[in-house]
Order: sequence, then structure tokens, then C-alpha cells
Amino acid sequence: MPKSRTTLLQGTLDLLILKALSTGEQHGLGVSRRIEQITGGTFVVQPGSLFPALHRLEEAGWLSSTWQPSENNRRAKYYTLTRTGRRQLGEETAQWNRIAVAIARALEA
Amino acid sequence: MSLKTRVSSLWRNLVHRQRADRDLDDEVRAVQALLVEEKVRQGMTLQQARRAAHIELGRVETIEEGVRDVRTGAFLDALIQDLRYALRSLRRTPGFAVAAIATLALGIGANTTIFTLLDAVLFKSLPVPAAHELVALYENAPDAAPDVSGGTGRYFRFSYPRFEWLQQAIGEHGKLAAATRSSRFVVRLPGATEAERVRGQLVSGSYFETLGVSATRGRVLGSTDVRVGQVDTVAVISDGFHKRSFGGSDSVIGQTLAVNGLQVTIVGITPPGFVGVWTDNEADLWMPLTLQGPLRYENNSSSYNVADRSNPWIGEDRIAWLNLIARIPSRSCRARSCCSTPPTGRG
Repeated sequence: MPKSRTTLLQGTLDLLILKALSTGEQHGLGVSRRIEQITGGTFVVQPGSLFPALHRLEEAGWLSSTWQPSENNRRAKYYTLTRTGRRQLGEETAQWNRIAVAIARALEA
Repeated sequence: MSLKTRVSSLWRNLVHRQRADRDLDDEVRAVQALLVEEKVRQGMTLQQARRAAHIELGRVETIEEGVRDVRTGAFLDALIQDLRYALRSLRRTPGFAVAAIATLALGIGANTTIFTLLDAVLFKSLPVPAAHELVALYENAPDAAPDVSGGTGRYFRFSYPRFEWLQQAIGEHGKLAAATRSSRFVVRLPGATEAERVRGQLVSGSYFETLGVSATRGRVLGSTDVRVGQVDTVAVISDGFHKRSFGGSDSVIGQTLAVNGLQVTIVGITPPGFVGVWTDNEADLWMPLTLQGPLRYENNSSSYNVADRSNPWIGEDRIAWLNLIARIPSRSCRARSCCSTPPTGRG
């Protein structure tokens, strides 16, 4: 499958970000790499969409952030999933599955 | 997003804007540095890594713009930035700023004036009961009449004898009052060294009764105060005049004022908001029209040249100096809009 760049919808990006952070806290670069990893390289997130999304999710209360020293000892902003964020992840996953089932059924009909 | 989260985000983004921007810059540059290291670990030289990182990340400013655009309160933030810029630009071209402000001020001022005028004249009703029952009297021009109508063909002033005749004609059907248009009298307050000019009217004894205005303190003028051949030196003052010049003091009833040199006694105060019936011709002082001679009052009059103005006008049927207001109660007419033409008098 070709690497999808601009066709990733905002809602899907949010879902992937939440999922990527479900295993632990990460900084912006880490989130991007994790998304690439868990989608098997299908989705490469543009920085131009990643950072606004991270900030938007943080303002919505689903992520929280702290400043910590990173791998190179320079301080970086690390994001974690909040409790409401975890709940949101569950809801969006369920919704995604519903949509996927519905479309699959439609395509088979 | 809950309201609390939204408000705290707005607070951070607008009030602590600089700190938020600084943090954002730190964050993006940190990621940039991490990216470069990642590529160096993958085997590139520092130079190659920097260039590759730049290609992959893009410009830091662009990313930061993107974040600012989606911040809560982005619209408000942009508005504030625009306003600041506008102010800076205006300060740089003061001439233009002055011209623009002056034009706006003129326009707003003119508009406000017109609407205030309209409100006073058209929209507000008189502070008297059943104001729709009041009518102003005028008569149409008789032939060979002197220049009394100001070109309108309507004569709004009447002589005293004519007023009396009209009062009899109305009889039980209504009430008729006579009043002069207000003009300035030279008034000296008790104990004051300097005189001030106060707007006042000379009125008939039926004036306050016709309008339906009673005193808040003391009494208003009545028919016993205004009788031909008598000189009753009494006066009623407005609430505004009472507050302005007497400080609202309780002992004002019974005090005397010197009006055009004549000592008159204050007998009452009208309710607040009452300044006569003409919004363009307010009054703070009302005295009997029998005082016209003693006060040497000579305004608001027109006459046939043969009339002798040096005598008291009260007996002169050729000096027209009184405006007449009638109250014509109508049993069926309640709303303001249903009363139309005023009655005219013709002798």
C-alpha cells in the first residue's frame, strides 16, 4: 500500500495518537515514530499535522504534558494519556470498529 | 471539552501568550534536535542529518503557526494581534488617525443628537396624566393680520380677554390654560449677592389644574392666585431648580425670591421631570400672569400697532402673548393615536 500522506483524516490521526500513547509517555518525535511502527509504515505523520493535533488533544484534556530530559539530556515535552483520554480512546476505537464493520458489509453486498 | 478546561486553555493562550509561545518553540526545537541525532545514529554525518531533518520537519515557524491556528481562542488571539497592529499603524500616521477619529466622532455625535432630540420630542410622552388629552390651540389667519404667524398661517398666541372668552366657551367640556413661552428672568436667591437667570413662565390659575400636575411640596398655583386686579406675588419652582440652587433644602417653601426686582414667595415645588409642556422650551419657575406688569415682562408678544404696551397687558385685547393649552377629555379616546385635530377658536 502506498504511503498515505495527506489523506489521513483528523479524526483518525487523533485516534492513532491516543493509541500510540496508550503504552507510555512520549515526546512528539516518539509519537510520530510509534504511529509509523504500529501501522506497519503505512501512515507517516506530517509534523505540520502532528503538533497541532497534540496541542489540540492536550487542550481537550485527553493528554497531559510534562517537561523532562530526553535521550540527549536536552529537555523535551513528553505527553501522556489522561484518564479521560483513555476513556476517549476506548470510545473512538469502538466507533472505528462500528464504521469498519458497516463499510465492509456495504462493500460485500 | 469541558467549560473549565476551555477557560483555562483560553487563559493560558491569551494571558500567558508569550510563555505558551516560548514553550512551543522549545518543544519543536527539541524534537528537531532529537531528529538530527536519530539520523546521525542511522549513519549520516551531522551536516547530512541536519539537512535531512530540515526536509523532514520543515520550517519550525510553519509548525508553530500551525499550532497557534488550532489553539483555543485562536480567533480571539488573531483579533487582538490585529488590533495591536492597527493601533501601531495609527500611531505612525497621526494625521490620518486624527482625521478618522474626528470623522467618526462627528458622525456619532450628530446621530446621537438627532436621536436624543427625537426621543425628547416624539417618543417620550409628557409627564402629566392622560397627556393625549392635551391640545394646543391656534387659530387661522384673519385677514389683514400683522406678522404673528411666522409664515405658518397659524396664530398660537392669544390675548388675555380672548383667553377668558375661550375659557367660557369650553365651559364644562374641558379645561383651558394660558401660559407664556418660557423666557429668562433675573432672579436673586435669598442671601445671594449675585443674580442668576432662570427660565420661567407666567401662567393662568388653571395651568396646573389643566395639566394635572400637583406639587410635591407646598402647593401649585390655583385660580385664587391669578385674578384680574390682584397682584399675588407667589411662585412655583421646579424640582431641578430646587435641587440646583437650594440644595434640595426643606425650608424653601415660604422663602422669597427677587424676580426682576420683585419679591415673590415660593409656595410649592413641582414633581421631578416636570419642566413645562414644551420640550424645547423648558421652565423652572411659574408665576401668575397677573404679575406681567410688576415684572415688566415684555416677551412672547405680538400686537397691532395701536396697542399700548406700557399698560398691563392683562386687559389688552390687542396684545397676543399667551399660548393656550386645553385638556379635552374624551370618553372613548384612550390611546394616544386616536386623538387627532385640535379645536380651533375663532372670535
